[in-house]
Amino acid sequence: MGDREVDQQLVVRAQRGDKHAFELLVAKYQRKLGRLLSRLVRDPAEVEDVTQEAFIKAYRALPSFRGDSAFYTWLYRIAINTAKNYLVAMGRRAPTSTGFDHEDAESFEDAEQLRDAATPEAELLGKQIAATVNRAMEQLPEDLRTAITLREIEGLSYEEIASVMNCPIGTVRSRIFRARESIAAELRPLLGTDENRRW
Amino acid sequence: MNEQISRLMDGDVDASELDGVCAMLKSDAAMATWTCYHTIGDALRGETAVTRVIGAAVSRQLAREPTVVAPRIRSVAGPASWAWAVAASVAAVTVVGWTAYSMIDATPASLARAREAGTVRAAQVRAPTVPADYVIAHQEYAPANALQGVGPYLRDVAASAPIRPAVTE
Repeated sequence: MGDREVDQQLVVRAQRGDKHAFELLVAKYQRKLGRLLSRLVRDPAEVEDVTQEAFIKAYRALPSFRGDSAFYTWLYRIAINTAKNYLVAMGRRAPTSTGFDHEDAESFEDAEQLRDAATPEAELLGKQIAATVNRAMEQLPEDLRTAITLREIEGLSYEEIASVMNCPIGTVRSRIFRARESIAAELRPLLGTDENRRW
Repeated sequence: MNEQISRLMDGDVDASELDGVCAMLKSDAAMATWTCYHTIGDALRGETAVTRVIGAAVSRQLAREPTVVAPRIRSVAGPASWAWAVAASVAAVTVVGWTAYSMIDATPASLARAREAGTVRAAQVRAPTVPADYVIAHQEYAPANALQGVGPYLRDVAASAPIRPAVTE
């Protein structure tokens, strides 16, 4: 089961009435979608509103999602349309083109523009998260750092990582989990446990 | 518990395990771990958040939404399905083609016989001849009029006209 299949399974559950399955997808894609929408809607507070609205619209439209495309691709289209409609409703001209397609959106890196779009609170939290994760990565043993890098940054499957690192799949699975746990131990205090920061 | 979450993120969970993992993820602690792990992945890819976390806000809105229950959709046919279909078609064509080819006797001798047989048949072909007396005797059976096949019965009816009993005075 790949990443797309995991999303598809969660969507199927949500389509059967399991709202929590959809919340898992929200937790997974909220940062990515927020960054995408910040290109269209510059005001940070508005980005939050539009992102929330996009997720709710996606939830309402779930019966029409047939799995022909990846969930994020479908969500992406809903989010773009939501942002354009929002801008039109606000009397602002929506960009005739987003200037980037789905693939660009996946690898979107416009740090300067994102800094403009981020709230001071989000910007500070983002910097703290990045610093904490980087610090925790540096402290990891080499094999754990390599395994999680190949997984999270290069997007390799367990089988591919096992081939690259010349070790059994079970070892890859264990190394990635231990790496995540080590980083999470540093990150959890920063993310907090109160409801607003829970996820 | 957290290892299962890690495996689910990477798609390393069987369909049979999915129910259990999803049920487990309904706890706050598991949900926090799911979010934390995804935050780590986003941070490693440089995808930092530009807004406050909105998951809780979306969750509150979702609670007010009517529950979506969509009709079951058929599973999408993946590449394996059409690959099997293509393979089956190729196999069928191969079997039929091979069978037909193996039935052809294409030796030079057989080709010569076939050529000769064709010549003889062509020479023997004539217009069909039917004896005239046969045609005359059976013309009533020929489908030449609108009452095909009725001729014999018509004759029989005509022949079997009621015979009036002799009147005795």
